[in-house]
Amino acid sequence: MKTALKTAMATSISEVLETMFFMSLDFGNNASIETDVVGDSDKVVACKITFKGEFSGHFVFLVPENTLLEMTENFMGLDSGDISKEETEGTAKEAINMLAGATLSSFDSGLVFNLSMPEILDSKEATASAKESEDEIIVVTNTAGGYIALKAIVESG
Amino acid sequence: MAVNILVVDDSLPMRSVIMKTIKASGFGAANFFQAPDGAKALEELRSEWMDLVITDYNMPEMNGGELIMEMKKDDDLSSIPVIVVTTEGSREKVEEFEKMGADAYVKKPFTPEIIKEKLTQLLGEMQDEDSSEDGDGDFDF
Repeated sequence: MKTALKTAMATSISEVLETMFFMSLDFGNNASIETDVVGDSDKVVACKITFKGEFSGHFVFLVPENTLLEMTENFMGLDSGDISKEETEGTAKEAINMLAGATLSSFDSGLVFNLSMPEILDSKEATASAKESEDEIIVVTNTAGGYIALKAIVESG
Repeated sequence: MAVNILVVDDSLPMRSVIMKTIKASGFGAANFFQAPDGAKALEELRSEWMDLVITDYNMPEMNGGELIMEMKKDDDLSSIPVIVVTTEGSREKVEEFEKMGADAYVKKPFTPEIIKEKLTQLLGEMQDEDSSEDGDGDFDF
């Protein structure tokens, strides 16, 4: 299941980021969250959504603040100076909502999953979620605006 | 003639993107109304005539399915076409939207072509000066 879910996550990242955020992607290297997503960023925004169904768990989307600002510019068609915190956080929530939905339907469109409302993690939780562990499924992708990561943690099923 | 379109989504950026996409789809003359959940949408629907409702499914307070069911119980609102725009992609969920009375379904992420196809299907051609896209997406139930 782990390999199939990781493939579905990569497919959904391509589908969502290229269609809705007009970002070109590169999956071609062995990037890591700590080195490439967190790297020299002042702040990484982490957003979480849980899913329940045939199996249950949660996804976490990690994105440096400057990359999220670029995503919001592309998504809403606004200049960075006109974008509010509510809009960047709303964009992160919408991104993980679409990533989770697209991943699960790409994994198996015959299964039904219920998604929670997405939530922005506080800085302590965001720091904790930036650490990688072996039981997590992680996809790190290079966009033109920087690296982003999607993690899946399956808790049951 | 301008149409009134109510966009229901708890995400401010997504409401903005849907309205931008509708404008790019040849419906630039539409009057847009917004609501962050189903309960607020019902308030809007009872104060202003709408030609079309585009709603998210997963929302706080009242979700898109509950909104459709409330509309179907109200004689003044039951004939207003509803498009569900959602990340929910399972066959069972799509059939559930159809049974509830949704007239069309669009899965996120979406393209302007898909939005245009659904709007044209429900409202007819309404090309205007803001029209810039011409597509033939295939997204029927």
